[in-house]
Parts: sequence; structure tokens; C-alpha cells
Amino acid sequence: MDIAKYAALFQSESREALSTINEELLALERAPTASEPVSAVFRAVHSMKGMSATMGYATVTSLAHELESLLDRVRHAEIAVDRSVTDALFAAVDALERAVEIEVAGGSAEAAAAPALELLRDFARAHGRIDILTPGNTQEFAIPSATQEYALPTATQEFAIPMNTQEFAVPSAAKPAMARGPRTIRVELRRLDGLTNLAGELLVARGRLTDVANELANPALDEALAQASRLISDLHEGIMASRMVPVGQVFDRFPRLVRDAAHSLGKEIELSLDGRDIELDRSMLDEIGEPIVHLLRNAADHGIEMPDVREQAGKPRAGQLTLAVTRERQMVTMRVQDDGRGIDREKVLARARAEGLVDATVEQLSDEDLVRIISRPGFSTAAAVTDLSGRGVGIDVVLTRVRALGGSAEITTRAGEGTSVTLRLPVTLAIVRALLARVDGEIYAVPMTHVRETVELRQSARRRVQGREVMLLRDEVVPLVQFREVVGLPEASFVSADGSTQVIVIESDGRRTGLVVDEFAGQQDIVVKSFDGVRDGLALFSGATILADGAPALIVDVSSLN
Amino acid sequence: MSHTVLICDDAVFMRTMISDILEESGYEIVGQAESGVQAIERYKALRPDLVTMDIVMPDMGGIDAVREITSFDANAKILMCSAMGQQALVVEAIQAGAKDFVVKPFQPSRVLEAVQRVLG
Repeated sequence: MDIAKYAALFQSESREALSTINEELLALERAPTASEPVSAVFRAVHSMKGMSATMGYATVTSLAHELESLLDRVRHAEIAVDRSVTDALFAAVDALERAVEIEVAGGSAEAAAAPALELLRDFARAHGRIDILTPGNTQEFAIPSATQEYALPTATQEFAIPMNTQEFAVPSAAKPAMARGPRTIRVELRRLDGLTNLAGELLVARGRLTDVANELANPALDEALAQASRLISDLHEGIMASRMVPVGQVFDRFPRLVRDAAHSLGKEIELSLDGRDIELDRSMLDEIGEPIVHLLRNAADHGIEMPDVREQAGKPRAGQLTLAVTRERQMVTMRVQDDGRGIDREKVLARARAEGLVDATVEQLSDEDLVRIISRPGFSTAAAVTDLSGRGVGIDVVLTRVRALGGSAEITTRAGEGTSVTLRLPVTLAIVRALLARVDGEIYAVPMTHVRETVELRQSARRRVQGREVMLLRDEVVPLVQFREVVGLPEASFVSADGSTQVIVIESDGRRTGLVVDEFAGQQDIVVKSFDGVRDGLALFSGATILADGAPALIVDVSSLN
Repeated sequence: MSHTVLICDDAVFMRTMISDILEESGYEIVGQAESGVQAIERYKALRPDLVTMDIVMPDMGGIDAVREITSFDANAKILMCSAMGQQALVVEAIQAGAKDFVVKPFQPSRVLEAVQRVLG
């Protein structure tokens, strides 16, 4: 039997089941006496038990079995649902989720699942019954030793792309047909990226071909080209469409996340999720998940007040948090909105004064200044570092990543009424046109959205004003920045044989700057990869990319240069 | 002519596995259903020689589906697929008209044995 195929099926179906389980557990928590959520969770857990036992995944099987026993007793009203029950269920489901990923990858999940198993068994003991599924029991029927040899490489499993288009409907008539539900195929994202890049280059090649054909003016050639041209467009669209997934794939875990955050803060928060069916490029979705989590945590932590405080302010005890996704042509808008206290201008002002960000005489912050200040790297007004946010990683991280993805952000806040952050992102991610520049042998990419023009600057057009280097661009005085200095190279200013230097005129927030580089290295569509992990010291760059020739290049965060 | 089979299970995983086991041995899978309600509809439309039936499914469970199917066709041959610890339900299913059962996790040889027994 083809174990790898079953492992992949098991994984995708388990993930679906887990998502259902989380959803239904949240419903159960809201209505502890309702029977339908318990039944739905029971069915999903039961189904996971059967599948995992077949695969020989012992830990998933035991966890599912213990969960099922507990649920069965909840179902038969032997155990009343209270906070301790839902907490235990959530903890067990988290462990189940981890165990699925570990065992599918061929590892042992025993240690990872031990605390949750113990918790479930304690629960059973406390309620006077215990029913342990022994490992021997499971393995008797298990597929022999298959999991490790045949497990798919983990990298492939990260990026499952459902192809909704290939649904096989069963004609209800007598004609025999297979009904396997929505069929999906797992494709490594790397391969799709490769196809995307090829299709992009095909578009460029078509452009060149069209130029040539126009010169030749041959009707037969024109006709053939028109046909090829349509096919190329269709191919490009098709490939882009195959990368699209509903945002729900990532966002569906947010209600659970907000619930956990609210509990640990002692707050009441209702998250409503709108537009979960809207589709976005899978890479874009991967990139934007973390910033959205950050915004939600910020809202839960700093925005929404404690229930008593809200009541005193005449608001409902439960705070309303909304994540709304909408599609406007080639842009997707994501709005995170809370009805909390709003950003505290006084605190921001005090902190900004203390850090010398505003003049000591400033009495009031304009909206623009407020946003500018809270967007500064590391700016946070949190009185104490909480478990959730306020670790000094502020809104700036969100804004940097959004810009790196070719998007923009808008923040509005009203004292006592709440805060709303709106992110606008291109649907097709991650592929932006960039101007490439060489500095000391390294290639750097500057997103074209920020490039006004490129200039060959003669020595005669350079000036010094108040100790700063500037250039004269037509009637305008534009400050110059030596890219060599910015990246810490000792030797300033690379001058070509004829005495001119290459300057990229960049613009952000309405301000222009001339960026002096060694030489231009053409334009390219680049796939943006933002940085994970390390954040300090990288303010200059918003991400990295792999160029067409396979060499890596850093992407310049233009706004950091102004 | 090979025997025709309708597979009823709410998990694609299980349907695929049963279908692979049976197809390899020359059975013809004519349809699949993922709920009790679908199982009944498809049984009526496809009239398969054999039905494999999961017990726990949404909409309508396998046991109720067995009742409906056997009341429509007393000669229906239904093989229950149960999980461990569902002995009581298996008995109920047999009383409702199912012919035999196999226990998950499946061993291909046991599934095939049971299928042959039911088709007699």
C-alpha cells in the first residue's frame, strides 16, 4: 500500500477535523449545555482515532481515545461542562494537533503528548472511571513500520494547496462514478514559485516578441502571436489562481487565539471574523498571518478594557474585536478593529517627550504624529511587559512587513471608542517589481513603487548644504545618501571613469532622497521573503529575495532611509 | 462480472483506503457516501452488491442508514466498519440488518475475508 499517500490524506483530513473541533469547542464554551457541539467534536475525534490507528500513529490514537471517552461522558451528561472541562479539552486538542504533525513527520510524539494524556486521565480518575487504550491494543492492527520510511518530507507538508476546482460530482443516475469529495493535490510551494516565475518571464518575453512583430508587420505572424498571447495570459492567470487559498485556512485559528488571550487577561472579548472565504496568494497569507496575530494581541492586550472598566464607561462588558477581510480589485483589505479605549495620547506624548521624539513644548499630538511615533521601531507604552504583547516589538514590525509585501497600513484611533488598523495588500503577493543596484559587488533590490527615477549625477550637480550632501535635480534640492555608508562600507562614493555617480531617486511619505549606488543592475520581478526571527539591526532591509540567477539579494526598506 | 460496492464513511481517508483494498482485489467501487443520508440516496440510485458502512457519521449515523436501506431492500448486503469499543453498536447494527462487521484499524486481509463472507 502507498503509505505516503495515506499519510498526506491523514494529515489534511486531521487538520480539517482539528479546525472543526476548535470551532465547535468554542461554541460549546459559549453554550455549555448545547448538545450539537459535543456530538460534532465527538464525531471528529472519533474519526481521527480510526484514521490514526490505521496509520499506526500510537500517540494520536491514545489522545483521541482519551478525548473520546471524556466527550462520551459529557455527551451522556455524566460530566457537566465548566471552565475546567473546556480548558482540559482545549489542551488535549492542542496536544492532538502537535502529535499529528510529529507523527506524520515520522517522529515520536509521546513526550509532547504526555502532559495532555495525564490531564485527561486525571480527569477520568477524578470522575471515577478510567479506560486506557494500551499501545499493544493499537499496534496489533497497525500498518507495519511504515510511517518512518514513507513519511513525506516536512517541507512539502507545510504548504498544502487545495485545488477546489477539481471537484468530482457524482451523477446520481446509474452511471457508475467515483465520489471522492473535493480532490486536492499537495505541491511544494517551491515548485509553484518556479512556475510563477517562469510564467512571469513568459509575459516579458511576449512583450519583446510583440515589439519585433510590430516591426515586421506580417499578418500571419500577428495572428499566431495573438493566439500565443492569449494562451500565455491564461497560463499566467491559471498559475496565479492555483496559489490562491481562502484566508480562513489561516484565520480560522484566530477565534481560539483571542479566546486564550482574553482568558489569560481576565477580559471578555468577542472576535468576529468576516470574509474568511476571500482568497489570497498562499505565500502572502503565510506572511500576513503573524502581523494580524500581532494586531489582534495588541487589541486584546492594550485596546480592550477590563469588563468592570467597560461597564463603568457604559459599554458592554464584552469587548468587540473584528477582523474583516474584503476584496477590492487587485487589493485585499484587512481591518482589525476594537471598541476599546483607543491609543492613549497622553502616554504616547509623555513617552515621546522622554525619548526626545517631540519637542518638549508640544502639548497635543496630531493624528499624523501619533501614528508616526507609535510606528517607530521598539516603541511601546505598555506599563509592564505582559505575556501577550508589549515586548518592545510594536506596530513597527507590522508596518515593515506590510510594506515589504507591497502593501500599506492606516491607523485610526479615538479615545474611549477604539482603534482600527487597516492593511491593504496586493492579492498576488509577494512578487514586486524591483530596481536592482550593485554596491561593492552585492546586489540590492529597491521596490519600484518607491523609485521616482534614476539619475547619472555629474560632479557639478553635487552640493553641500549645512554639512549634508545634496544634489540638484532640476529645480529641486534632494539630499543624498551614500548606500556604501549606510551598509557600513568604509569607502564612500564610487565614481565612474567619466566622473559621474549613479543615483536612485527614491520617494516615501512625500519626501525624496537620492541613493548613491555603484551601478544599476536592471529590473526584475522579485518574490519577497520577509525576515523571521532576528529583528534588531535589520531596520534598513524589509526582506530578502532570490534573484533569477539564484543569487540572494536584500530588499531595501526605503522608508528607513528618509 | 465483478461485484459492485458502495463505500460509506465520513473520512476521505477511510473511503480511499477501503476503496484501494477492494479495487486491488477486483471489486468495482461504484460510489461513495459521506453521511447516512447520502448512503441511502446512493444505495437507491446505484443498487450495489455490497455496502460498507461506517457507524459514526454526521446527518444520520450508519445504524439508522442500515435500517432505512434494509427496509427498502431486504436483501441488501451491508458490512459494518466499526472502531474499537463499539461492540454494543455493532450488535445493534446486526439487529438492524447488517450482515457482518470489521473493526478499524483495518487489515486488508480481514476486510477481504468479511466482504467475501457477506457476498457469500
